[in-house]
Amino acid sequence: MTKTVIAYTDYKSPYAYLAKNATYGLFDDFRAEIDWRPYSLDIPSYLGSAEVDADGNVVSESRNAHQWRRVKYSYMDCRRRAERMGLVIRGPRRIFNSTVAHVGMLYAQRKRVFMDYHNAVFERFWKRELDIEDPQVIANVLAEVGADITGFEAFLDGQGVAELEHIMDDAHELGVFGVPSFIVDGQLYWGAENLPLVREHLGG
Amino acid sequence: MANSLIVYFDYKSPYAFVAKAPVYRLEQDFGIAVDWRPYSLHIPDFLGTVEVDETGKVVGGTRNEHQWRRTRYLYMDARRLARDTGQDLMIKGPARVFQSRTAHIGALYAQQQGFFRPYHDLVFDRFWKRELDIDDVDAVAAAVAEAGGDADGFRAYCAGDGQREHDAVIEQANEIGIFGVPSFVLDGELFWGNEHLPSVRARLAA
Repeated sequence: MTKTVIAYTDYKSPYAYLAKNATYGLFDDFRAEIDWRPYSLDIPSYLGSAEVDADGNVVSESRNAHQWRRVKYSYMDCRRRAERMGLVIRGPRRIFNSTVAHVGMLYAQRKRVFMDYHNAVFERFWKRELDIEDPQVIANVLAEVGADITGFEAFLDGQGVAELEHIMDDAHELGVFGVPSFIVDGQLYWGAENLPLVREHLGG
Repeated sequence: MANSLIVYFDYKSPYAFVAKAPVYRLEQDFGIAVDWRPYSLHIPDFLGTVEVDETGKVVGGTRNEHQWRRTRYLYMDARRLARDTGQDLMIKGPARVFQSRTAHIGALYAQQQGFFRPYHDLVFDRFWKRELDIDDVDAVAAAVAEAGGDADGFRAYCAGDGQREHDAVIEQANEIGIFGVPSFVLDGELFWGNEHLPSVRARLAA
């Protein structure tokens, strides 16, 4: 029997990026249907906020010492993991708002170009080659992967954002607070390190 | 090949509790002496504060929605992890936010006096059964005695050098970049979280 795995992701999370291909593997290996859903992390609610200039100097911040250690560790840890996978992760200079790119994801799903869009946005954002907050930039990616973008602007101004909010509300009811998160048979797993358990669940 | 492995723990962390037995196994399997160090998490820094009344009802605090979801998840997940790793552990949600400083000073004392392992096991077990107040000097002194140590010696240490030595351990941890537990520092490389245990094990086996 085919199982469905809900996979919550956010383009601004390096951990979500690193988990992407392993999540595709749930389909490849178990024929599980992956229900990809955007989850827009509110980073300041748990890591405070900060902005750095082109040289990496902090120009503004509201982060305690604990949060700084946590952030520094996260990037070190992500780079350590990325290196093993041959991926590039460059730390962003500020906290991005991924709403536009997430509405783009919903649009890409409707236009059946999800996977190409997903791969392109993740890869380029983490090379600092893509501004995920710019509607035109996101529209260009959608067009590039083959979507008809005539309806994108209207979708972004109305239904798309409403749908994203609905998905967020739903996620919160399920207890989601971070990405990547996986839900299989109602069980919530946070973090790529839980993928072996998700696989066990699908295999058993 | 001489590996050095520092393991940071906090008695009030369910994840540190669940990591204890697997770390013992590393010691056993690779013949290394783990350098156990307490790290007193300051919970309000990352999960906000919670005020409860005498019945345990939440009446205030700064914990936001995100932090509540995270907290609820972490207890569920730590229990699942215990089960999945074949450990029969009782993990009851704590009645309030603890500091664990006093019990950590007890850990330093137990190390110096040579009864660390029995103390460590006892404090973790009892705390998670809600049978031990790790912030209470008398309760910790009783645990010291039960684990084979000198309760009065602990009291004196806790009132004197213990405070300073505890702070020095935390300060050093912060310099290394520690922010959570369990953390593993293997030959200078930092790993945070139970999910890195296989990776630490693989490096020790290499």
